Amino acid sequence: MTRGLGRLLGWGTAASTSVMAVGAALELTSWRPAATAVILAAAAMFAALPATGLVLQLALYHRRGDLLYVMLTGLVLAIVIADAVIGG
Amino acid sequence: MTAGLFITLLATAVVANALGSALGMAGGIFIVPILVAVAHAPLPVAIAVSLVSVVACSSASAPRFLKAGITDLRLAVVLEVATATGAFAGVLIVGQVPAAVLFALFSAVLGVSAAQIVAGRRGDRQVRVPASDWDMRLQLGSVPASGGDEPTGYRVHRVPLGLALMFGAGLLSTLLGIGGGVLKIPAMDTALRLPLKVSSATANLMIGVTATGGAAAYLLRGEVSPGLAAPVVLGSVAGSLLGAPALTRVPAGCLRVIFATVLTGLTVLTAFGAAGAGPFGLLR
Repeated sequence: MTRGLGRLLGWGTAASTSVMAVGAALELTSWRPAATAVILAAAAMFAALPATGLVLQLALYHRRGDLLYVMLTGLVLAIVIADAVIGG
Repeated sequence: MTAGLFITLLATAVVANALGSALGMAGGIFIVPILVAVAHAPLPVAIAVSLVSVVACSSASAPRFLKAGITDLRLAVVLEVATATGAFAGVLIVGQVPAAVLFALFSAVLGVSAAQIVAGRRGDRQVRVPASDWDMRLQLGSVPASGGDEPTGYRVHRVPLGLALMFGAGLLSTLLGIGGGVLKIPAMDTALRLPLKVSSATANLMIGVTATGGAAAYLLRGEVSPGLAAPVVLGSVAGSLLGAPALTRVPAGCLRVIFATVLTGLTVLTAFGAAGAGPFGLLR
């Protein structure tokens, strides 16, 4: 699980950072509308990373048959989603 | 955005997050006042950008700590239930607590945390005690694969107290727009009696989860400024990659001294902030 989560976060960070770098380049060259869309997409990719990590953990606990941690991880995921929806 | 401001924010984020990730926290606590003071960003925009940068910092640092085997995933899930609930409660009451009260409370918590970190906990050695009910039922406690000078095994103590402190950390994190590592690490060190590196690495993973709900909420509300987010987030990732190796390499005793120094400095600054002075005074 540790290795899987590490890879997910590592690759996810690399992908999000690449998109953010493209957005920053567009921002600096004053391509505003395109820059805004690309940077916000990168920010959304970053914001989704921890939730994606929780989904991976949930799936792996489920595969192991660890029901207690399936419930706890699911609860955390539900609170995070409620936080985003109600706060947004 | 001018190139000068872009470079200033990028450099600031690199330094703040290098220091933060070396201690297992993010740079949100430094980023928010800087965005307000230097970029003249409104507070909600500064908090929104800070939360995205906290997630970026956590995600960039976590793989290294996971690989080193010093992140306790099971404990992180248990404690995230409390921090996420606290963060959710924060969303419901945001704007209702006066900033002066918030900073005074934050300063007091930081002061107590600094004192506890300075006092240490028997030099980071684990006390051999029987496992508690919570410890056994939740199957907590672990053996880090490689933690340098850290203990080879540990038990998790006083889980209910840890959960209560994590709820408070989640609540304050949302109200202040920070990851909350600065609160979580001392709480885990003091209440749960974990080795400091395990506390720091586990808190680093948790701050991303705590911040993600808030970051998504601010994104949905359209309060993330793209012009400010780009340099701050890029700087956060770079700073995290620079700072994270230090956590696995620096001796735990040295880490404790650095962390206590940062906590003491923040205690003074937030106390001034409560009185409307200093960098945190700008946030009132």
